[in-house]
Amino acid sequence: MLVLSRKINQSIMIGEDIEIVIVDIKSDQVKIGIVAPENIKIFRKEIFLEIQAANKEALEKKFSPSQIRNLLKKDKKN
Amino acid sequence: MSTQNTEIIKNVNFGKIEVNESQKLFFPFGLFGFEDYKEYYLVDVNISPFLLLQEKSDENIGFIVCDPFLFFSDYEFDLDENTMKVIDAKSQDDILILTIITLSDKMEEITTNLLGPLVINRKNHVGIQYIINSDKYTTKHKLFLNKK
Repeated sequence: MLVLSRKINQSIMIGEDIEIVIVDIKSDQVKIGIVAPENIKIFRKEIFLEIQAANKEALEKKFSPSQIRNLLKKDKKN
Repeated sequence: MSTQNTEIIKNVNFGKIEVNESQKLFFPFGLFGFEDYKEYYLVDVNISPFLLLQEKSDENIGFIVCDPFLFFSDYEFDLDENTMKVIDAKSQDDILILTIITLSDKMEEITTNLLGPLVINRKNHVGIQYIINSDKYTTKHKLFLNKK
């Protein structure tokens, strides 16, 4: 990992198209601005990891077709 | 139009499934954690209201999905322009939303991921998994609870 120190309003370029700007620094929180092309997706890391984990978890347990149908039968209100 | 090619694909729980071209979906970026898997079939395997989103070549990658609006009538979010471009959708009518379900032994613990829905263009069958920029939704919403 490349580690750089920046002061408020200083920037980092990633390639030619992505800019990271230090917008504000307050005690334990830094506000970061990101300029990037539309096709680059930007997320807080924990959200990204959460979606990944949720997808994997959805595949973890095995349910047979009849198990699933039985589960759904319990909700036959339609 | 071209003739519909029928194929047999496999799912680890449902076994062999006959599918055709009209059921094919293409996710150019795959799904989060499964970026290398881009070709899926959306199949009715008689578990209504759920469907099976089965990856073409790996029988273990079969997601149970649903139409979230059946369970959450006030579910809504904005789609950014870039996403509309990626799936080449011109209007909301073109779009199908599906959410991934995590099953459980207990019906009341069955949940769906409303934070990362699958956004699919009905016309060209291209989809992406979209992360909603809101803390209103999570990856685990219970489907079978009495809602407020």
